[in-house]
Amino acid sequence: MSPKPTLLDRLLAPDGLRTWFQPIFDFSDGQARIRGAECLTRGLRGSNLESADVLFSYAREKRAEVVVDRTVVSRAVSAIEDLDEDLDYHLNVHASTLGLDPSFPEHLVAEGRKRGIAPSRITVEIVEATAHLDQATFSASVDSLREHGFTIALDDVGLGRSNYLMIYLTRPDVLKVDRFFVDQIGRDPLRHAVFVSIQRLGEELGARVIAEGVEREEDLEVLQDLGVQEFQGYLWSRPKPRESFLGELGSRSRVE
Amino acid sequence: MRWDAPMNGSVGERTDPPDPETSASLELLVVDDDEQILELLERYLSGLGCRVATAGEMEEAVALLENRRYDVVITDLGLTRFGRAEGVDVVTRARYRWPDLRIIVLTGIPDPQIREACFEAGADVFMRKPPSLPELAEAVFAVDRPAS
Repeated sequence: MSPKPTLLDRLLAPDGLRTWFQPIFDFSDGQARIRGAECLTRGLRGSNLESADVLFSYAREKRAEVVVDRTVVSRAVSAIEDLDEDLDYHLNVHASTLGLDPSFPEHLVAEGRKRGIAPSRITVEIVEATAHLDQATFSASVDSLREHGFTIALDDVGLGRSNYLMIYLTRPDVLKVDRFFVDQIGRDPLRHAVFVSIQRLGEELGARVIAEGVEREEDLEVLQDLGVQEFQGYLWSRPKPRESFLGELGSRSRVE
Repeated sequence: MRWDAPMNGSVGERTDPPDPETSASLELLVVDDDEQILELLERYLSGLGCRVATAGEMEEAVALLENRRYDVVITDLGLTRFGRAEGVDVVTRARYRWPDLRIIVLTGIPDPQIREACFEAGADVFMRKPPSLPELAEAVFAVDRPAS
């Protein structure tokens, strides 16, 4: 009798990881248009790992970050295969994975090639949750991703380990400012000051800024007054399964 | 506060039901690699008004504890068939993450050294498996009372 599959086995099975989408909006011409979407992962339906935070904590505990991140991007690339070609698709990858797996960029290129998706359509959002990072391997992996033509974003900027060191090591094309500094930005001068400092840093680095977690019209107005053009948040759309996202794409105009 | 629960109970004993005002708000995490025991404890404790999450692996339990606040964790000691007491790791990580959490350890291994290791790791109550359900409920709702 074959042994009962572990939770990790079930997670890595074809239906173990699902890709959801949350649109990223561009307001550069004054109207909300979908510029791209962040691919978000949901684990086994009905399990504790359905939640992404628990899922990735579990992967770390199992020391399976690399295989899980590899599978996550494979599933995501598969999920975007026949979606709108003009949109940017953002895939999350842990910095620790890029520090552990120097061949990760080749894996992502190969997955894209199988599905006919060029690196130019993909933004790699680098996230981090662990304290230990092999900086040399990480930097080499990021360089390789960039050389292949992927856009590099740093996620959750301002919080956790998305700090100045990560900005320095990553040299991102996009800074995604964490929701903490977006929520109630109009009422809190300190959050406002931190956001502006990140925005200025983005200008210095030539990096676009995306405000994450926008939930209030009043916050949107403040951010637009600051010159921010790209947004993501519940104000427009929650993360949703592929079919629902397709429906949303159909009902909204997009950036031409 | 340490408390060795009485070990002479049997499954299915009746006792006075806990106060619903107290029990309704309790969030529990039950950790065991035996699905039948998980189901039994989930059903019983849910029936007392608790909200019960379950985990079948040490790593799953730790991942939940890293991201969720619970009032009580009930963990088995041996979470694999390899003879290690992974439950001690659950206790250690749970106590580190949530200093005020109530931790109940269940075990079929009557080893005083393991029992001591559990208390040193931060367990509040140590109970033999299978536990008397009423006594488990008592430990859940009054875990930090002094030893009697």
